[in-house]
Amino acid sequence: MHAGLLAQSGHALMMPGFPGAGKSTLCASLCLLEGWQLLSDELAILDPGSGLMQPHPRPISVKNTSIDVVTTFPQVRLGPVYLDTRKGSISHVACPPNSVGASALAAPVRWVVFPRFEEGSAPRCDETSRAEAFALISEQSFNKERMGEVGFEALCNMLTAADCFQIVYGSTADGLRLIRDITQR
Amino acid sequence: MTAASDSAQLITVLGDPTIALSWDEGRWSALVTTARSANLLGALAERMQVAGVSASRSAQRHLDGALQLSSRQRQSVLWEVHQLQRALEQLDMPVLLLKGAAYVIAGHKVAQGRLFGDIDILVPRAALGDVESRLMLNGWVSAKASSYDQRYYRQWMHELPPMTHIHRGTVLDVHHTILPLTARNSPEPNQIIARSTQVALPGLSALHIPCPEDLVIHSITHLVHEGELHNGLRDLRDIDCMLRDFGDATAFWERFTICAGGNDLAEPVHFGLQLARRFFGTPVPETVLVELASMRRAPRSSRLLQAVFAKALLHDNTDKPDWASNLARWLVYARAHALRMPAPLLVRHLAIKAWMGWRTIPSEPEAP
Repeated sequence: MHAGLLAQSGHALMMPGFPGAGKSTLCASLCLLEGWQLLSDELAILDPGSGLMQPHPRPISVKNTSIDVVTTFPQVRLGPVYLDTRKGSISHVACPPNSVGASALAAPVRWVVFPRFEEGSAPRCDETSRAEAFALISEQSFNKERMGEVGFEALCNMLTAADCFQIVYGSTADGLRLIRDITQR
Repeated sequence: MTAASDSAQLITVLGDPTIALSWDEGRWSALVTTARSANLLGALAERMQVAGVSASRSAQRHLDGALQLSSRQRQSVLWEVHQLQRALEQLDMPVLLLKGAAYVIAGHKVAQGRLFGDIDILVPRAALGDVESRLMLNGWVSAKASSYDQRYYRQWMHELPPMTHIHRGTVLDVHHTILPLTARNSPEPNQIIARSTQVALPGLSALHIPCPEDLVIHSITHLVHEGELHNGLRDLRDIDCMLRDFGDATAFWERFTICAGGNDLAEPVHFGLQLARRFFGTPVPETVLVELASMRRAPRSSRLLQAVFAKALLHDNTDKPDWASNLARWLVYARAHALRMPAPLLVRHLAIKAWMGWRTIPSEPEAP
């Protein structure tokens, strides 16, 4: 599935992302500023057998103004900036060493958060139904046809154990605060 | 490792998965790559599951994925076949399923773990027009647009241009015989239709499956006349699997020989059986080979051809075939075209295709 995926104390946070929703920046912020384990910034792999999310840590791709945001993070290691690509300027943030070290640690999803970055917007968090989350995640699945019934069951089981939210935020600090509220309640 | 040893390894494990019980990650990785390249990953996964053999952790993931895909494909073939029944039942004539779809619907062992791309059917040539319009009314459209391609298929080939379903994207090949009309051998499809049996599943009364003998003969004919052998090893394994399964039935080989000879296919079938024996050690009675050899129209040594096919059929765990494999594949390709149509027709066809290709190259945009 197309989603950012992080974990803390054995619980995974999944952030399905429509392009431009801000999930990569939020992923980078969570793992660099708040110590989350990065499983992937865009590819959430669910093992239907165990029901656990499989880590696949790779550099996080950040675009345009996000590059300026992550540059200010302590300990950030940024690759070269590629200008004028189809998606604008692109750079890659190295995966934090502790996430690479934890790449064998699979985790069950505890929270599903659909992030939406809106410049200058006031922070907002709404709980959303599992049915709606299912429909939104299905749209972002790469292999739902291929997985058929097995995939359907696996996604249903994953959502049964998760709480789902939609968040809107206007700054990285607000985004982090909303995630903290959700995962520490 | 060479293509020969990689392929031999794959064939050995397909025969007896337990020999791989203590393999390390590197050997599994090479085997999975070879099996994927030969389109035999699903079959390998299935064989291993039955034998209770697991691969290394990361290799097993690939095998599980192939099993998943194969069971999903089986389900969608079943659905497609029901759609075909709905589209064609009112024509009141037998629609024969061929190859993969036939194996699945007939519940043959060879279908287990098999991966395939399209569905093949065979209908009486006289009904071709009706079949095509019924299919078009039900959402299948022809993928080849140019009128030359359309005429090429209709006038000379053994099938219509491939049809794609507009919603499901599935591909259907409608055959009216089993070799091109212009080919040297001219099998009689009505014999195959007459010997076929109705599908045993409820709600599929319009659909038929060729008898076991014809099923194998068709598979062999297809392989031996095929110009591109990327699925060749897979097809050869289908043949081996079926012959091991059917071969013990009473009088199977007598019927097999009569069907092949009576349908002007002694030559390709003789050759295909030799290949299956060479690669998979398929148990073929010597008398069958002798009898088929005596029925050939142009008896000649096939030793060189066998060597060429043997080289072209091999897969290895890299994507870089050596020059000998490339040469062998080119020879197989050239031979397939030579078998497909007489030389003057072939020259005309290639000239027209080249001319059409040249005409569609966009000209340089003019400077403003």
